[in-house]
Amino acid sequence: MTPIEERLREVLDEHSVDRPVPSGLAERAERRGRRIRRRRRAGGAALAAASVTAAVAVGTAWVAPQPAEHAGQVASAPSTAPPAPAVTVSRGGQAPPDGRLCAKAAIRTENGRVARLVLSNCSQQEAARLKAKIIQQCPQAKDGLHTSEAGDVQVTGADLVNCALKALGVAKPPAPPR
Amino acid sequence: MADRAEFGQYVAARSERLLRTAYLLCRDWATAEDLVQTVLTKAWLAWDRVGDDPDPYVYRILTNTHVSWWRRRWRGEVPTERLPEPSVPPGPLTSQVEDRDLLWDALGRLGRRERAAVVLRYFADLEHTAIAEILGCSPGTVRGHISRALAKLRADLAVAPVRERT
Repeated sequence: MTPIEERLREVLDEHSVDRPVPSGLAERAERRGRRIRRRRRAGGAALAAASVTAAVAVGTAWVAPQPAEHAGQVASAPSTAPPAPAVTVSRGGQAPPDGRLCAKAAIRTENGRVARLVLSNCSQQEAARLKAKIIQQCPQAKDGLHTSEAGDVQVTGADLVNCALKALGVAKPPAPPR
Repeated sequence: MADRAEFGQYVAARSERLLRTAYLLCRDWATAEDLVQTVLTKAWLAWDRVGDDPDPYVYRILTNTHVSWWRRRWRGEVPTERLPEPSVPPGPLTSQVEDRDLLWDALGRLGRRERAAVVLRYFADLEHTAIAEILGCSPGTVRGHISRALAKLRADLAVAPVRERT
């Protein structure tokens, strides 16, 4: 070991000694950890409820027999998308009856805000109706609204999603507690 | 060490070392205490995933959190315990204290990754491979960080008196 390395070791050691460790570090860490976990769970539950509301509001009257329970199960399952949890209410891949409804409604959050709303496998008429409603009421829709031939309607961006939810008659979902 | 009861034992045994390491990284005791508290909270949340030796995991949280705080926080004003000018004229009795402070100041002028590597090597006494795991790079990169840091310290004009005395 060179002289400067030895001196460096001494300096690091001497410079960091004059402070007692605060008491209750472990207890505080556990308390904060539990609080964070509760908030995460509460956020997931709120989003699940919001998703069910959205699904029902866009006309999926036949969604699952027990939507709240179903959504809760889906929300607690680990998400495959890394950045944010997503909750989904699905009819198990079954195509919607022609002329109405969408098979699936999903919302995705990023940093506690709803950043994306996806309505999947809508019938052509339903997709057109939803798109027209969003375009009519949301001036920013030209940048964040996409539809596909498969009948998917995707709305991206927190502001636009909020506007779209209002346009579709769905209240803005509550933000997860911080 | 997946048992949560062992979390308390780990904190009791390692918190002093963690606090000192945090201070050496951020150079401010209040920030160091906040940093350690945040690190322990994150560690508690992930305790089920921590293996038999929590140290690498916890040190990794520590360095990553430090870097993310460093990016986020305003650094226009840096708290310091000493005035820039020496209050006592330099003499033989003050040389030890001067050495300590000169080298400490020079350490503060190192980059974040270099300083983290130096602190983990010369304070936490970790091997290059362990440091590499914590910093998320290769052992060769760690050697490079440390080598560059030592070269900078040797080249630092303010450290010249220390080099002459050693």
